[in-house]
Amino acid sequence: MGIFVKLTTAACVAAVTATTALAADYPERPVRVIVPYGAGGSSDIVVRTIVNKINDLGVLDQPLAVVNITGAGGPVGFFRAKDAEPDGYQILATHLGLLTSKAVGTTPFGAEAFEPIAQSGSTRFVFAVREDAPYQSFDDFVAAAKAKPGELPEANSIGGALHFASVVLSDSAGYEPRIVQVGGGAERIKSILGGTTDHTLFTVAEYSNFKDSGIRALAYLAPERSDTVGDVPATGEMGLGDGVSVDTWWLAPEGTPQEAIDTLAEAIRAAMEDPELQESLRAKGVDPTFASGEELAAHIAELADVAMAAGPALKGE
Amino acid sequence: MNIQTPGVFELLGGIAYIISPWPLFYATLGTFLGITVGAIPGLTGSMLIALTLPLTFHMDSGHAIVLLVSMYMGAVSGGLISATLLRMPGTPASVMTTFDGHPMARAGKPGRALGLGISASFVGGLLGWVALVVLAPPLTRIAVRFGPFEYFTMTVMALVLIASVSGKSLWKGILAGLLGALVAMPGIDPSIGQLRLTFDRPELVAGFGVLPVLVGLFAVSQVIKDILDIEDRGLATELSLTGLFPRLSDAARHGWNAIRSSLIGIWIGILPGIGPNIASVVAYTTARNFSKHPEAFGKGSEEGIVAAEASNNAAVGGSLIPLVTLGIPGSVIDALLIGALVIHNIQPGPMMFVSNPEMVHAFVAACLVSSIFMYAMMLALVRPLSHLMRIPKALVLPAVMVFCVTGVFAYDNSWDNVWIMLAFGVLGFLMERAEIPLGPFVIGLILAPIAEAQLRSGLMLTAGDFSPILTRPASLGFLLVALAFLLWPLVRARRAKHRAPR
Amino acid sequence: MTRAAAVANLLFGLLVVAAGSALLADSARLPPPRFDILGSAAVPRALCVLVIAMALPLVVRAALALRRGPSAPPPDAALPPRRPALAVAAFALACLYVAVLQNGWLGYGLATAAFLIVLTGFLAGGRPKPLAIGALVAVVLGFGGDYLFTSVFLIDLP
Repeated sequence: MGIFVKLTTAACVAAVTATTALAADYPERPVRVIVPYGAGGSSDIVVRTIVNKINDLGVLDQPLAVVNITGAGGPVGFFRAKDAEPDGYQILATHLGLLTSKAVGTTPFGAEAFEPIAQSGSTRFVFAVREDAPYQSFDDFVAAAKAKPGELPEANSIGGALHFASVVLSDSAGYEPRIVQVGGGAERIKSILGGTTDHTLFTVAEYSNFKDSGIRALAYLAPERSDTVGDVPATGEMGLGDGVSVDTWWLAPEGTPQEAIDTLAEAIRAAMEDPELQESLRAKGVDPTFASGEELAAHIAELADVAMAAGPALKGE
Repeated sequence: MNIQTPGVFELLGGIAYIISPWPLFYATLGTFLGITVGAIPGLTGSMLIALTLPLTFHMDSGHAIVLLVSMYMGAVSGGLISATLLRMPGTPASVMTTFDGHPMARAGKPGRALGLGISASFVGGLLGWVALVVLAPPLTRIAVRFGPFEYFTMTVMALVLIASVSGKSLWKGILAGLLGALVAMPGIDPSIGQLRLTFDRPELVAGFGVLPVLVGLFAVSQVIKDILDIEDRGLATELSLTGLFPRLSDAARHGWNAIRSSLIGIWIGILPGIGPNIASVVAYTTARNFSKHPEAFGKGSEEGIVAAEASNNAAVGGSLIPLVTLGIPGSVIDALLIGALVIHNIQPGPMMFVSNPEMVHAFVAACLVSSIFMYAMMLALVRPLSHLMRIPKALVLPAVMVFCVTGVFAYDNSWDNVWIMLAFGVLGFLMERAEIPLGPFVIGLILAPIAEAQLRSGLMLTAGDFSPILTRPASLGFLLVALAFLLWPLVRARRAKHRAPR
Repeated sequence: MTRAAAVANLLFGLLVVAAGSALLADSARLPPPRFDILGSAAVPRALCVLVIAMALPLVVRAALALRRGPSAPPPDAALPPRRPALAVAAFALACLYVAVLQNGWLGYGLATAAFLIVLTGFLAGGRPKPLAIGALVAVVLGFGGDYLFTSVFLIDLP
């Protein structure tokens, strides 16, 4: 190509305007929330629901505006957000895909390249098979999988949060699936219904969406059962671990002023305390949790270690 | 699998739903905006819908669906205007329309070219709608059974088809297709997420997007070419708008072609992940191979326009079928529609018929009404639009350039993409000079990631066994079709040669 | 093959060979196959090899045609003259326009209006009527576009 021109000059101009004004006035122009996933996907929808609530409540003087920077299932947006000017006007909304992206080496950085603002809501996975599958319970499945190690095809989305959850689950249950790259929720349900693959994981939102299309849930990857998922045994009660929780994280590029981070965290907290928003998130299969500050930083650091440890498995080594 | 069909009640409910002021207003607005955006090179339907999505959060959910579906229909149709008049496909789905629409327009028959395209779009849209109402469940059941090997061979087939139709030389057609596929490679591996061929440049992490490359190859390169030839006012002086309205004889002449192309469009629309773009390639090639005058294709063939436009509009209705019956998107725009539904707390899929029947009504009605509105608006707009060819190039070209820059930037907020667009503008210009066809290049770029990801998924499934490509019937069928289409022109040419001396 | 077509073929062929070779070289850094037997490198490598193999004959043919000299008749003298300098200038102006926007030297509205007026002026060759309409279009597109994107679609134009 040869004609790529660096973004830096544009960012510098923006920085000058920002730093001079950053005080009690923040924010004095719209804040861009970079969502590194496609518009209309489940991650995008959760973020947009919260953003709409923040804008409706008017807790900030300026609106938040969602910008979908997609490509490569996340990393493009990660790069863009990391390289954004840390002025509080560009933030990232993502989940543990940021950690797995580093663990498999797609991005040379993980959550340490950002300052945590807040966590807003968590979702989990459901293990599902086709309605007419021979397994009546998760135990049946594990027995079948152990009898044929590396042969039962699992519809996966390699390198992402779902793959991470699947590695953690198969590790604790002691089976080895045949990993098949299938992709997003729509592709995975199609693959299961068409009999191409044997089993898969769905997010709770995807599961509530598809549960009447001809699939059956065998396990809920969580410490205990949930009302949203219904009468599906939790891995916690089967002694197979607590599963992986996928939390929505709001992060700012490293070096963002603390005032901006606190203001945004406060705005997100205000929205998350709204009963209507909590209801709406629950309907989407999202548990309306909230965390910020030290607590959140520790939580992310802990998960980052687990993700790095799962790195070789995620890379197929 | 419990899949339900919209059926007669939804049909009636849909008509009742739409005959009220607000839905009608949104259908009109959506169709109009869709046509406009589709017709402007550089702005595409998926961009319009992605940008409109946030605005629909505060709207009534039914209205939002009517608005978005109408935009979808309008955008797929509007692309034919710029494809015909300026040889710049307004959307990827109208790439095939440039092949014959523009030569006809330059030959002084823009009215006839647009008229045929519009009528074919209308027929395609209506048949797609009929399929949505009556054929949804059986078709979806078949489509769901397609595994990775079927997808792989089908995309390979589409690639072979376009390479075989789009240029004088098959060699150059295949080279263009392979080159487009190669351009799709840098960035993230579509299968396992490995970063590759980026030369360690963060700008290349996203790879070369379809939108910047498409706009660069077709619109920017055309602007360069038009400026080079700006002294050339050798257009037919008389722009004939007769033949805008289809004649009765057209129904006899093009009817079967329109129906066949629509059926191809519907079927390809239903298959998740691929939509109007591929539908138009397959329908166009099929039409050419069944045609009595295959030599006219690419030089202003009426059949070519009909095939391309009927199939891409039919694919709209087709791609809504898996969305409504299973909650599975049939194309990129459908994925955005699903997003709009979920934001309104509506789960697309079979339960929608029980939990939100009015949404099904809105889909079914919007699909029909927007087809009709599209037809009426396009016919009304053709006259003023065809004067586009008369507006001095000095006014049109700068504006097109601004639309290209703004549209490509706004799509992804990325200046890298704008530079990529400009670079591909130069490449497209060079390719034209070297008589390398652009169509296969773009289709290669779009299809290669799908083909690679599907092939590798298949190999993961079989632990490295390639044989299902030949042992699965549908997969083998696609390969045979590709082979037949590749060989048929040679066979026919040989036969013609054989006959000629006598 | 005309001389211009031969040059275009030669340039294009060389460009393809160069790009194919560069990508082929870069693919050497990719890890071995992991989940499937092909891995990330197989498909791009195959494409590189095919593309180079198919472009080489074009290069050779074009080079031979150039050496033989023009075989086709010279272009029709009745055709209007081409304006290569104008095309290059317009493209350079477009690059300048993008650079101005990217670096934020001017706002979107102003930059766009200026670009439109200057390019229209170039193309119209100073004729007043198109220039006047062009100026009007420039103002409408520049500032209208600015309003549409920033206020309606909430997109941050520079």
